[in-house]
Amino acid sequence: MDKAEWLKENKYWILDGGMGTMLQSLGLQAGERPELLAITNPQLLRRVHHEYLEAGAEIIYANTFGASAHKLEGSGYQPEQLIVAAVELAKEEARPYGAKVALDIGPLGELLEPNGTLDFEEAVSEFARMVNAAKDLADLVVIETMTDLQEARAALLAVKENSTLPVFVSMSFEENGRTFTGCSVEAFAACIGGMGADALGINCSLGPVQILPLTERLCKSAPEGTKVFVKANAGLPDPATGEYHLSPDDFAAQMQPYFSIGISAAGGCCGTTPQHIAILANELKNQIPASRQTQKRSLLCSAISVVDAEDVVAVGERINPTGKKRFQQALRQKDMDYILSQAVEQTDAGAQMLDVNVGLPDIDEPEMMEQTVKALQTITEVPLQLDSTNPKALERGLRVYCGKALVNSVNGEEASLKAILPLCKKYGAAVIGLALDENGIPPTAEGRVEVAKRIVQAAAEYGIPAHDVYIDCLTLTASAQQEGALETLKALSRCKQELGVRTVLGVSNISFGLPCREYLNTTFLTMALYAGLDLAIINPNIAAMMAAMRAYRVLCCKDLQSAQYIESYGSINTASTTPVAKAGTMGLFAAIEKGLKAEAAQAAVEELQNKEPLEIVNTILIPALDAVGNGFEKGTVFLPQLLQSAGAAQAAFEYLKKAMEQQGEGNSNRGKIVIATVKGDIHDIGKNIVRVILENYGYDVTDLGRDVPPEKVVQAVKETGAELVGLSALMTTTLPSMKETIFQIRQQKLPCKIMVGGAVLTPEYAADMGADFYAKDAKHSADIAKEVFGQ
Amino acid sequence: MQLQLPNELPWQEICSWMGYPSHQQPDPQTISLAQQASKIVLDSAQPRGIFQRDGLYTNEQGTIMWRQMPLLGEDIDLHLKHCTHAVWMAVTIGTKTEMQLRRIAKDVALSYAVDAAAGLLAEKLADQLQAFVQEQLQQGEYMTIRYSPGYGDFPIETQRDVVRMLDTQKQMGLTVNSGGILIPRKSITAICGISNQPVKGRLAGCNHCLLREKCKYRKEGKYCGQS
Repeated sequence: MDKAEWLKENKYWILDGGMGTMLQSLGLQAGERPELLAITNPQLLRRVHHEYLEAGAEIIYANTFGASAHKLEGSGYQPEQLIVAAVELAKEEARPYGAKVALDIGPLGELLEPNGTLDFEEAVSEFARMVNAAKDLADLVVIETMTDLQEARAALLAVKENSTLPVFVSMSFEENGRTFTGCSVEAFAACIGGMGADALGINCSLGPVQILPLTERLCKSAPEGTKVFVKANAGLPDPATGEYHLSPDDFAAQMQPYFSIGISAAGGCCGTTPQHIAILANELKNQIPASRQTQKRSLLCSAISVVDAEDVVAVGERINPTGKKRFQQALRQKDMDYILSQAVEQTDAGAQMLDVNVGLPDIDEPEMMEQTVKALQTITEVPLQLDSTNPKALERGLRVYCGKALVNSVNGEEASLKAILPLCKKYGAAVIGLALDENGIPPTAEGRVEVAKRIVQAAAEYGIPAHDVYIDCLTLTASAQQEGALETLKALSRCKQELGVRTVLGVSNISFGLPCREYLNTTFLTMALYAGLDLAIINPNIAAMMAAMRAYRVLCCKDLQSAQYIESYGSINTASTTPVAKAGTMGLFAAIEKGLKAEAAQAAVEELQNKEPLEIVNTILIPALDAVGNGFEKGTVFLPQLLQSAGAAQAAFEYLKKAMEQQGEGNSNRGKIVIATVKGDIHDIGKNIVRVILENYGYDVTDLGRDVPPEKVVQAVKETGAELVGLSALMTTTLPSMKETIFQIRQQKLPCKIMVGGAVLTPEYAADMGADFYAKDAKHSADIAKEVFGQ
Repeated sequence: MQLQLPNELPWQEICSWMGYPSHQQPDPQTISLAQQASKIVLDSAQPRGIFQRDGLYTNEQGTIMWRQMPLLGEDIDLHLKHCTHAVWMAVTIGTKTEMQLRRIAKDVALSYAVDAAAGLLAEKLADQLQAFVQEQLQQGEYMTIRYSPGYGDFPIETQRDVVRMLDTQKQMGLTVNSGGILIPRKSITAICGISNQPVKGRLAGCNHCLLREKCKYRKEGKYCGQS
């Protein structure tokens, strides 16, 4: 039997009110763990449930909000004990009323990556423990008071993967319509709604008046068929006492406007009592919920940033190894910094989304996809388009992606549809459908529309609506199939008009094999936009392409009063768009000493005209760094200056490295070093400084990042054969994990030296942990490297 | 509660946070770096703060308690001497600045400056909240300066209790990770004692401090409790 059948009834569902409020009024002290009451004082919980049921609540939340392993740490209780007890007693109370009981899941209390350090899968398995404890007892699951979209996703996945129970999800927003971690109402609706929550809601944080406009937004953006619910606080708390003052009558009055916007369930949160719920229940008894005016919006999002394909969207195409040697090298060397620099460059240029393709035949693409998506999320908030033909890679990427992604792509082949559409459904992603199938690309527009129809139909069978399907009618190369350009645009217009889908094109392919590609690309882009293109996959670093997008938005009245156009180009003097200042008089040594980046880069380029790169490194760059380093040791140069010098040397080094690579003289490498900030610690500035300085001295540094588990350090040392490892920890609480990392390296008998550094370390403590060196600062770490590698 | 962002963070203070001794005039390039950092931080900060007041008592083992939270160590004992109540406060600059920091991580000079400016902003927000709490005192009540876990011998693990008892995740988005680190990272929790006789509190001396051998304040004959 469908466990969600009861939910289909067209009626208002009355939810209960504040649990914490009631327990505190009955004597629970602030800071005590209410979850323990299921065992220590079940009568108290029964009493609260009973009062809400009497008041008219039809769905009550079992007292399991914080019954996760994380939150119960140190309490002496296991989640299973408390959850079974809490749900069972709630069921017993609910039975005479025919009411439903929800397993209540709240936040774990620790932020997930990338905002925090908790691993996504660890969160999923903690939530899964809660679900498994209650799945045969509860009638539904409620995930509530979430402020981190990634955590809400983890909880929802745990419910979906471990039970068939219906699930409600509610998040807490501030008045600006965002949660503390920046998640907007629309991102919540698009992501969690897309993943198949039965109901979406807003709870806590604010009173009915403040939540109303947010709920209106939720009603507009929640997917069709999803219920919307609300559990507001009894007004805003008194800042000094934390108490709530909105009376039951006023609460009910303030809830009135909600009943015309399309919500189907309501209750209360902090400060609300059975009296509040009784009035609400009385009001809604026998009423039918107003229908919700859903808009079929094509939203794609990260937690923070939402794009609506109703407006034209520029998708950056540069994270892709096809035909790019440097990018391929980055993938093989797992050089995440290079990949991230491609993201920063494109978003700075105006890309609103990024295509992510990390496929190479000789790398582990699924692993790389996961790592890349995770890394991108730490530095950019634009939504991602995951680009692969490998379903495993897509799944790994989708699983950790926080938001509603776009999958690139399926095609009309049965096998492709079967492999990829279920993934899109499970993770709530939208999908690109290529208008081709086993017979290739149909030559005519008619043929491509037919394929598109099949894709839309297949998507619908998996529950993916047409407005989440983006058809790619395929750009053919004008040099080979000249008549193809117009055929593509014809197909694009028809798909959009006839199928209710969105459209997407990789634009740059049009000009392949012809000179001055930019002319063809911008013209084709403009034509395609006018034909109805929604997502343009382009190189945003080419100014003319972004200009075409921005100009189009002006001429189609999407950029009102040309505001964004003026913002982008208002200060540009078109006569001087190519700056490249030729200062040139300052030598490289002086530029590094003074910490001037642009001058150092310029000077390096000049030096390269007469000298070999390696000679420049040895005779200018390193002596300059040494001079600054000595000044630092003497106290005449201060850390900010040392860092600016390091930055200048870094800028020069980029050019020198390139020259060495071109000459096949890639051997500036003085030795391999692995560095990391240890598990549990997220302070990485010191470690980053060490990396830059070591790199400037010509060492090949593998930077594992922050919060790095010991096993990962061991693995990296094995893989790279590094002779020196640098570990950083700032806190006393993370020193044990430094010690553990050293222990594991030693246990594996890896032939490397270990240096450690960080605020609370001392030479004695370093020796005690078994480190070979204590580095008091970044300069010192370079001295240690010299000692280890010689010269 | 929402705290007010200052219009700017003084470059002099950012430079001091970056390790410039107070008697040394920074070079113009470093000043401009500090100003750039101030802008990045103020443009991305989402300041929040909360506080709660409750009575202090001594349990059977002789430990000072605030609700069910033990306040351990000699330093906090001295700090709260003569106090009957205490206010726990917490401030954060939010998660967005952290993303900016990660984005500029390759530029070590700038990220060091932004890190310093972000730390400075957290302190300024704590000053602001502390002043607000001060205003709420009854007539005849006196309040100590603030004292944070991790200073002296007051265990950093106390953060965990504070986060739970003040319900900071729900109230302001502040959490603590398995290593006892507050997340968002640029956040402060602190306790101020309240008494009906004039009290100042006593911040940790250098005796218990782990940083005593490398502290730049100590080298200048000052300590971190002095502003």
